[in-house]
Amino acid sequence: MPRADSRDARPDAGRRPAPPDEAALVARVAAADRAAFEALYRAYYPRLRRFLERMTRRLPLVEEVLNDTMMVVWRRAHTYDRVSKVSTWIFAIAYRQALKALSRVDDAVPPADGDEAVPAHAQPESVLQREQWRAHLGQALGALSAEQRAVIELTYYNGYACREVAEIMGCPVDTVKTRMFYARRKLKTLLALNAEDAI
Amino acid sequence: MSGRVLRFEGAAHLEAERLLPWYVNGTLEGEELARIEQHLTECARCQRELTWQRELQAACAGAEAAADAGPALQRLRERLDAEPGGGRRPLFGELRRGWKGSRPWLRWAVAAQFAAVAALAGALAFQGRPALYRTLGAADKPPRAAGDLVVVFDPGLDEAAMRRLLRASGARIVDGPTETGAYVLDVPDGHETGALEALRAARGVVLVERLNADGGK
Ligand SMILES: [Zn+2]
Repeated sequence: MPRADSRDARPDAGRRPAPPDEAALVARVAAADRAAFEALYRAYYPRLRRFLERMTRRLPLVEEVLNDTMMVVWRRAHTYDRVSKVSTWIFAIAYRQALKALSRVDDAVPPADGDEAVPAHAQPESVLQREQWRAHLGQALGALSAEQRAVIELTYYNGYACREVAEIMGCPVDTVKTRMFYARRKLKTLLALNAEDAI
Repeated sequence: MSGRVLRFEGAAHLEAERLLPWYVNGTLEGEELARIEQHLTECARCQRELTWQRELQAACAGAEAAADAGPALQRLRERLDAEPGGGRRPLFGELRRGWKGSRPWLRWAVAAQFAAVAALAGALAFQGRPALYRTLGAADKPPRAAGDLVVVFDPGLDEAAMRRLLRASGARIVDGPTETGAYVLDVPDGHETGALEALRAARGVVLVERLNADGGK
């Protein structure tokens, strides 16, 4: 569910200029520098945590996947090629780790939010409607696949370019566009259904 | 004529429909951006879609988890400490596989000499040996231990030439190749500088550095 608090909202998080020393930090991690590794961990913890929460929607999995991700960063830091951004490299690892974890626990039906149905609108007009719309959106997102949620999160929250999302998801750019297209269509369908249910 | 225009507009609409999310997040550039901006001036459906997507973006803009990284990091530290080699793969197994079966040479070894050596040194430091070497030019002076030089050979160098080089410099391989294609050499005491210079001057050697950073022996 989107949080009301927007103090730390960073819709352009993916495009915030990467600290120039991030690549240097990874080089130090490649040299088994634990202090550098911990600095990288702390820098990425909030971003990865949010991404994994939104993508998996399984809170008990999040820390495990996050730590598995950083374990791979620790072991494979020497393979970081400096061609991609450090952040897309790390997010690509997190994405794969999340898919792996989900396939282990796959129970097909994502956990329901259990919210009471309230009227949803195709487009929110008032503040109250916006709150309701967002509540429904949260539920609708739960009905998407993890891949679809990832593409939405990486685009609208992290602010990655289409090419970077493709890099992170390890698929062609056209697949990203298609995945996003169907994700949006499904969201709209679900939001419209919700609106009808409430009548 | 009008059919062609319609088809063209249809294509523009389909493209815009698929690219709007990246127009919304501000990452479109160049011709793509220009085409979308042009199409938006003339397509009511895409304008409505744009409004909807901006709502979606705003709804996604919640805060990052404010949770403290500390406890999770502590659990990861414990995992790292518990694994042999601090979670890194050991080097010795690779040596036994011999020259021919060795891992492919790391292609960027030349471009990333520092990283190659640093990764090797890091891996060594986590095998439970003394920290032989941390980073090139590190200020601290680690203790001397087995292995004096780290060398990366040219991928085109054949085995016989490699042996000749090693014999000529009095060095023998004690470890490697690592994943980055580096070997650790042992050189008789007092001959380190000579061997280092000989290898540096030799064709077929991409990189050679001392393992102990103090440089003087
Ligand atoms: Zn259009």
